[in-house]
Amino acid sequence: MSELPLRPARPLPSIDADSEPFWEACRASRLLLQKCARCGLTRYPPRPMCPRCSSLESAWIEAVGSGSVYSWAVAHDRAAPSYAMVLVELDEGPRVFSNLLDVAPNAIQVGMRVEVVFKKVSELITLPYFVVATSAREATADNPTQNRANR
Amino acid sequence: MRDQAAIVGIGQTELSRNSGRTELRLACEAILLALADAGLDVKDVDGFVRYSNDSTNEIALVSALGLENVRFFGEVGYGGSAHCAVIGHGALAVTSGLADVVVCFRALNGASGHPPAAAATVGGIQAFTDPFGMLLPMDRLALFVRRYMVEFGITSEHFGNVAVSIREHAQHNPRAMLQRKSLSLAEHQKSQMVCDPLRFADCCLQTDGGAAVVIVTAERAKSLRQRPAYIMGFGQATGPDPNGIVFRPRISVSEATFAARDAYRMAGVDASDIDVAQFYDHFTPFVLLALEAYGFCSWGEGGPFVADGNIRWPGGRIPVNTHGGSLGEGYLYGFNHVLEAVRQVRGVSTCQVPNAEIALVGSAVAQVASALILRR
Repeated sequence: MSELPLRPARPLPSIDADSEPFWEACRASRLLLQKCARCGLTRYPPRPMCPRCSSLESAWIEAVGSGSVYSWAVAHDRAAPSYAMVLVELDEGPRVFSNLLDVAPNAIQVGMRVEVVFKKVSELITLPYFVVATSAREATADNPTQNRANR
Repeated sequence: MRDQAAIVGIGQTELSRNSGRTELRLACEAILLALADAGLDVKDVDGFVRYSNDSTNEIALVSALGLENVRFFGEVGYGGSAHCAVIGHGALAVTSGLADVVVCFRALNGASGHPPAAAATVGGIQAFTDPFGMLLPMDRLALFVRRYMVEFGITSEHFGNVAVSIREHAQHNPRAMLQRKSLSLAEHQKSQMVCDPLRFADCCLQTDGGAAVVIVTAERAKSLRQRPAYIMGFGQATGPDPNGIVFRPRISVSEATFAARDAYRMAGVDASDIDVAQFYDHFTPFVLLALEAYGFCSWGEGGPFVADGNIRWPGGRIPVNTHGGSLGEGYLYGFNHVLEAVRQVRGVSTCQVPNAEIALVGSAVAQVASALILRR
């Protein structure tokens, strides 16, 4: 319908020195976070310096891949299927932005448990996406009235 | 800095969906109108401050306007967040003596122009958002809006009340693109979701047009033809971790509170002194966030505050976007809001607040913010 926007095509991420280890790990289906070598603050997305203590040194740690939906939206487009965008608060603390796959828009709730999956989109780029966590999938099936909360 | 500079001229082209002219031409027209309004000559201009995303740059204007020597120029980034900051920078320039006559402007073919070609790859912080479909401003802000709704129990109807109030003000404004098109709450609620929770009726217009203002010192303003709009205070601010918009600690309160603090402090006023406000309304929820950040109600109370009629003209506690805003007059990235604030202190608005003495312009945009306070 004419009120829907027409979005441009999605770009691929370009890889740089700060993010190269992150994208390399995605190709191996691992979700990496940076951990400050001095103060231990865990952060995402990758950046050169710790915002808390200013250290330029960090290590990469692997996230379990589980978290909860912190916020969400559903993009409707004139020329493409609707898709869900989510900000996931990982159990390790940092928040990751991605898409929530295989879920009806009216089933998404803040607080819902999700887990990471990986999909290859090009030679160099595999993207981390999220799906409803197995235990949460069973719970929402049993309680359809919960779907209307937190809309 | 308080009251050291003033806006002494304003100019705005017609607002439409197809100007039929270039953005450079729109800028020139708006600047000529503003200078004529001020009673100043084109050759008096010796400073510019622009939005960094405006296609018209300083040297294009120097050539177009035939200027011999421009002594100050600068730009402010981050889109519409710049709309008050450009005025602040202009005030700094004239107050310091770096320039005598500064022009600030915004000119674009936002409706008829073609969007830039989509890039195949994206770097920086956007590498972690855009590949997942965060592609339009509404996509960048929808998660902020959702979190705000969930934390404070705000609904789509609260946003509808914002749209209805501001669109009503447009009905009185012959310049407004939607002067002849009113909006009811029922119509707002039937409007399609474009990026759920944002509906089409929550989104601002796309506009072709240009607007400009002229800034001089308060001393010089006294000898010019219009009642000066004295610049009492201004501020610009980021909050913590703004990069990428969604990665900050809280995505339900706006950093505009910092810009508000600084503008109020420079001006020596607070929210209770403000007679009329122009808030950045690219999307309706940010008017609620602005009411909260600028101290008209508490955090999360913007929805009920608007539902109670407080932003309506005539008679509301704090009429907002008396020209119809970006939702109803036109979308010039907030710059037309500066002109409307000037009209209010001059006493010539189409929705004039009686005896308006102090006018606020501000944004609560969710990345950076700027604020401006003008007085009669």
